[in-house]
Amino acid sequence: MSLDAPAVQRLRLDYAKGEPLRFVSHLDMLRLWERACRRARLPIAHTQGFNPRPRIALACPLPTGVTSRAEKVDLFLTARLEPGEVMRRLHAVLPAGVEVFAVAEVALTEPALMSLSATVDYQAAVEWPGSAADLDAHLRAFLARESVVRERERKGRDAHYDLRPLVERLWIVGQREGRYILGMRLKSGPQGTGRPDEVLKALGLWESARGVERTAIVFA
Amino acid sequence: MSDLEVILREVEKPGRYTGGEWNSVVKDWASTPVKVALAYPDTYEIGMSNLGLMILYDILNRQPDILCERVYAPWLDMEARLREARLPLYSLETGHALTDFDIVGISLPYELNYTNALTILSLGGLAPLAAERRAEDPLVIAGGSGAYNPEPMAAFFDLFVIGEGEEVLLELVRLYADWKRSGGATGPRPKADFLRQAARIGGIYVPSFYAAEYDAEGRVKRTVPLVPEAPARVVKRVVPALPPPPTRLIVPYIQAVHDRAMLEIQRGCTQGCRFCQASTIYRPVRERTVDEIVRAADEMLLATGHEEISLVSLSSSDHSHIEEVVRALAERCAPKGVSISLPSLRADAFSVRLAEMVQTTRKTGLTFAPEAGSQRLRDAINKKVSEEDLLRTAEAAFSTGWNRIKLYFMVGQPTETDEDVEAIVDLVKKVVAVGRRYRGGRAQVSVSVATFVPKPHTPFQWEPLVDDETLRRRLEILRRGLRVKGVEFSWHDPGTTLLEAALSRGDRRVADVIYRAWQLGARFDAWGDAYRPEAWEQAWRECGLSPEFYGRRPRDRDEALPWDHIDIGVRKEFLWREAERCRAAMPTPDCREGCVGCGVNAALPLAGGTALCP
Ligand code: SF4
Repeated sequence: MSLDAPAVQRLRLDYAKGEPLRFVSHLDMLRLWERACRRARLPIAHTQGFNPRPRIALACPLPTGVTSRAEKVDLFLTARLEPGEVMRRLHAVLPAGVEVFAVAEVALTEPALMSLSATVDYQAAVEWPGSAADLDAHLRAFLARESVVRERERKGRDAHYDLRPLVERLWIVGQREGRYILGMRLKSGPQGTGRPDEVLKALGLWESARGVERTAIVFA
Repeated sequence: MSDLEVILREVEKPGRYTGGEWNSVVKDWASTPVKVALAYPDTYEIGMSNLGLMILYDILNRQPDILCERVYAPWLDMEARLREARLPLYSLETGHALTDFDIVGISLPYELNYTNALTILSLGGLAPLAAERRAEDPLVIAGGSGAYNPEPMAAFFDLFVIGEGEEVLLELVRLYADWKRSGGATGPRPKADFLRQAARIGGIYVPSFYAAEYDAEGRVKRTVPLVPEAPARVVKRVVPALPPPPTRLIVPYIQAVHDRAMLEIQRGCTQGCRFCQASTIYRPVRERTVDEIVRAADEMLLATGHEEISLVSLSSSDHSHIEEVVRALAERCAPKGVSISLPSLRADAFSVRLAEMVQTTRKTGLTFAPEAGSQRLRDAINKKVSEEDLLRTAEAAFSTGWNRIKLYFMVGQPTETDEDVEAIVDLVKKVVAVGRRYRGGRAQVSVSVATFVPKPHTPFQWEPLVDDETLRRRLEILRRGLRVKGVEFSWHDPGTTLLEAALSRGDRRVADVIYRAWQLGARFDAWGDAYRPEAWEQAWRECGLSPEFYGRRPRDRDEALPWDHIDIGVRKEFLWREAERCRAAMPTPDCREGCVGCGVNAALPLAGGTALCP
């Protein structure tokens, strides 16, 4: 294996991120993947230049604190491997909380996962004292607003942004253990990324929210 | 309704508290008879970088009937949340409170995290004071370099492990398990009976079996054993040969301070720097063989997937086959994109060559520690590097592509004068000039300066801590002198040095101060943003003691020291002789060139009469 061997194969993995990884950040996930690939002895390609990095790319960042059933990662290999073989090797070296359920080959020339705009679904269990109809009305009222200005903390200076255009849908998925399961479809991409905790805060449901989970990423 | 999920999403860096890391060992709680918690009294990121704890974790978890889990000090916000929610501090592997374990071991690496040890105990559901714990509570023990003067922390622990824990910890845990199984815990004087047995194990110090006597001035007169099982001097334990290193190191999710594979290539150091406690307490030197190192590195990299491996040692360039080690590792690591780091390099051209061998692509920074600016002072502290060495090292480094050199110095060492400090400025300027010659404006020298704190079991254990006024004056000399282009000057805030000096050389009475300061809110004393000087001031005052008495008072030769009953093998006469040679600015050679008679060889009887020193 050599650091400057070119990539000959690109594999896209679908995986779930569960406990205890909820609070592992996007950047730390990337490191987790790099280390797991080394443990699995996968022939990962490297970027060229002064400071070569393994060519591993994640899809739109998952907010910390959120688990997911719908994560994606691309691995670039310098030697072809059967997807099933990659799956097997990774299974043996991934920590609890990462579960790969599909490995598929994609074209080397496809655009980067990160650059793709997507709509992203989340679910959260929330407490709501009223009826389902009341909650539904509450969600509709939110969607009827023209803009919902929120503050985003950015290194020192506060930036204001409009959350409303990033929210496509809000709905009630069902009920579980006395909590309503709330569904939301948010935009994610260069034009802005909706954060589920921000939506829940804007709805006044954050304090009671438990188990926020990403359920789907759909590329636009 | 503060469940853990809510707490975790509201605290800083929640990834510190979730566990589940790769290679962490989760055993079945119900079916594993002996349960040990090992705690580190600092944040997760620092604790995870501690190799000592990893070694013991590995050894204990290799035993089928023992489980070992980890606990770190929660940061202030987490402590507050846990208290609010009345949740106990829990182990990372299975989330059990400390009270659920048989044994709780706390590592004491550094005086300024002593208060965190009390936080760990109390948040874990245990009374910090050993005397106040209940019979059914776990055995609470300590080890680590802080245990070499156990007295300030004596009140909080049932016993201390003095020296290397690899063998003795297992002996102790076994003894405890047997005693518990045989119903000892339900006897009339449960803990005391066990402790009497434990005190017979070499390297175990049971503080409650000793009494300290003081003279009219408050100095320790002597520390005497009270029961026949307690030896008059507790001799530190060392392992004759280093056992194989742990290779299935836990891989953290969040970035640890040293987030890399750590491989100890040798233990101990023969240089004999007089300020250095590690130099005396870790004697004698023991090396791992090239084969063993290379094999362990392979295993470790495969088991962790780390992108960097660090060769741990007090002085890497001194390993007798270091060049071979580095060459072999570089050959294996470079094609995999794995980098090698070699901390603690001696300042010489050989070390630059070693650095060169490992840094093929990235030439970040090279670090050297001349510690003093003038040759006279370097001779006095026995730091074996000449100005010529250093300049040649700088030349070797700058000429082979490095842009940046980092230099560590200490201020406030015995016999230091203002001129010695001015010499730091001169030396740095010369290094910068060398850098200019090869790298032009890109040459960078970063200078990091710490305050010297005299430590027990060193030739400077009798010396006072430098006074504040002198320190400030010398800082000014550096601040003014080092306003030079290409120099980056940083100074460790000396605000806590008196506290560190007092805690490190304290006696038993200091435990009251630590306890009181902790009650008043002292936490993470080494962290500038958490340090509460007013809590400490009040604690010293209320206890009728002063940090100056411990930190700034010179001791004379025949004064009994609070740690005199702790025997590290190095003879006190040797330390005193070294102190005298310091006053005469006489260096003592590296003992690899010929034994200089520290005594460790004769003092530590080892099985089979193995010769400890080369
Ligand atoms: S006994 Fe001699 S060789 Fe051994 S550590 Fe001491 S001085 Fe060095």
